[in-house]
Amino acid sequence: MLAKKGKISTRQAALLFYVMTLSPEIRLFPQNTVKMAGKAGWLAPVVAIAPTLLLVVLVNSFFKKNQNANLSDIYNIALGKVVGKIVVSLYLIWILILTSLYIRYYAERLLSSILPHTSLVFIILIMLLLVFFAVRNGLVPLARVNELFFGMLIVSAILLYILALPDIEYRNIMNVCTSDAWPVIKASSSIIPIWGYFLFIFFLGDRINDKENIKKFGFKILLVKFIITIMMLIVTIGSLSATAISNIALPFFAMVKDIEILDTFERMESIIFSIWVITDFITITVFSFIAVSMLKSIFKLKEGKFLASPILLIIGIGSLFFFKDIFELEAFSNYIGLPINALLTVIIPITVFIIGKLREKI
Amino acid sequence: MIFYLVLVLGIGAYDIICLKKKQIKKDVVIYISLMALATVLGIVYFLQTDEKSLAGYILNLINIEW
Repeated sequence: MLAKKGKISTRQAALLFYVMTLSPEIRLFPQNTVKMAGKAGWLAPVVAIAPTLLLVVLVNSFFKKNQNANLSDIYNIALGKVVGKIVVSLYLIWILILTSLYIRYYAERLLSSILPHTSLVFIILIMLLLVFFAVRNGLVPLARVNELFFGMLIVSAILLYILALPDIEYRNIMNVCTSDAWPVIKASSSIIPIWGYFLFIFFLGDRINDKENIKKFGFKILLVKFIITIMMLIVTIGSLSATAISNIALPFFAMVKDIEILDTFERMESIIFSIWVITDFITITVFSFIAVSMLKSIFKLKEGKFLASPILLIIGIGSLFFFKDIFELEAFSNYIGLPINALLTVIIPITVFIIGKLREKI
Repeated sequence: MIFYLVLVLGIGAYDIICLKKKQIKKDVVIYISLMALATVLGIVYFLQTDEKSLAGYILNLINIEW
């Protein structure tokens, strides 16, 4: 019924949020939390969950009066047409940069691990082609295939955590004291901007049904995300130690590499690779959908799907043009990406909500 | 660069024909503008001689060393 209208359910939107945040989580969380909070880094999600739950409540409040709108429309209603369009344009520029960043990360990871002699342009082109067909086919097939991915990802995450349990040394994660409280709060600042992607999904709000259930499914998916993230940090810090993690490029990947079953089955990192490619594909495709939807809202266009080709060309060339190497990518995500994400997913929505309430529009 | 330009022109021509059939002028204008932007970005990227990237300039601008 929903599929016929080209719409997805709020549950499917929540699942898209879960899968699209996995890739940055695996890449950023272990190292960033340990850098700021040491062995207590695994507690950072406990602090980060409260503001993210509030964000879900905020998104829910945005759609109370305007069930059929998307977030761009809500911003236009709350801030007025001109200011609203300027703010949405800023979001659009950031989404394009962010998508270029994710495409480049994906290509660099493949280059440095399993395809060292392949052309960077070729790897980017293959992903763009896949995303192009996904965007042209609409949101419904993507949301459906994402449901399958979600199940696979949860099963493989639990499997990896169970297999990694024997490697955990409890002295690496225990002995946390009250003086760790402030570093843990600081460490949560690298988690909140990624979990804030929950807001981005609702730029597709006009294609999401049953938005009265945002709170219900938002809370549920955040609970799952909280458990999976905290387990990821426990097994990574527990088996590698905080000191080792701060010197390794991809700690979670290194931890998975050490897993072996009965001295026979090894190289579990292939599971992580497939997870990474899947989540990168979902992230890039969802962001492309969001960019198309924002453009449609800004210029009040009738057909959105034709915009997929210029947007993907801009993203593709942007991923080559914007970043030179992996070091620049990492510096950009840590020093510029995370603060701007925090601004766009936490500070601006709160400001828009307050202005909307004062103007009695929301 | 030639491959990129052929790609842009090929996709662009196909999409514009489809859009014209649907008779939505505003969409065609926005589509052509975006394609022009993609083309310019591509040409600048393929012809640039400077080693530094945009992200590098921004990071330097705010004095971040990496």
